[in-house]
Amino acid sequence: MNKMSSDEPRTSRSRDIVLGAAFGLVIGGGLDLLLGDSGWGLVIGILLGAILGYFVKIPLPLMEYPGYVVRRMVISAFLFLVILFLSQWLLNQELEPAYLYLVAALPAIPGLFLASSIGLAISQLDELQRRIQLEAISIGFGMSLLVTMTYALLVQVGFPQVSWTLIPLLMVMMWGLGKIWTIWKYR
Amino acid sequence: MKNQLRVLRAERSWSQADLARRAGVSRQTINAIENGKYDPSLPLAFKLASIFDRSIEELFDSNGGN
Repeated sequence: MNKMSSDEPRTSRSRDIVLGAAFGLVIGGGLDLLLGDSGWGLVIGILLGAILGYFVKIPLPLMEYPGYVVRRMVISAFLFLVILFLSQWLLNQELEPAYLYLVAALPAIPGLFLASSIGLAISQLDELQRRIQLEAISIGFGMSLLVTMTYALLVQVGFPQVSWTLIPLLMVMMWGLGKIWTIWKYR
Repeated sequence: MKNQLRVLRAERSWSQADLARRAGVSRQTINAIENGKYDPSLPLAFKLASIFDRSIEELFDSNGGN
């Protein structure tokens, strides 16, 4: 059966850098927790991911989005990271107790913008690509549920408690893995 | 579902990207349909049939497996 042949789109270096940085962001998030929420794990992850993307051609047929959708996603992801860093930095300062909740929940605002950008991106996809996203999100949800539930049971018998912030990272990673698997399935 | 998409596309010397542009879908979708990995929705099937000026029955074989 003829797979992606002469019609295979060539991957661009800038796309690979962005993809590498996004991958590094997820890995770096986990690293950051190990380094004590210093923020350096994220920085190291993004930089290493971007460098990896620069040198390694990623042979993954990704979905193509209109330029304005990509710009909006990049801007909203950047804003989310900046506000997240700012929020974490402020929480380490001498803040009035009344502001603590507000500052801690501040990343939810750019997070909402990021979620709406992802929703906009999905709405631009065609029918097969939407199916791929739906299957990927289902796999991501199911696997995350399985992993977190299993770990919660293991904690009962002595496994160490881990930070709740690992759960969104796990969900994003499982969504990504689900998407890669589903894309390959429909090749 | 088996289909004549690849043959008809080759007759016109169109790439998958050319056909995808005409049908308003991604090249990935055309590739999946041609390889029998994905059966298109009715509106897309009608659109593809219209592009090739054929009926849906001529384009898709409902008795054929993957």
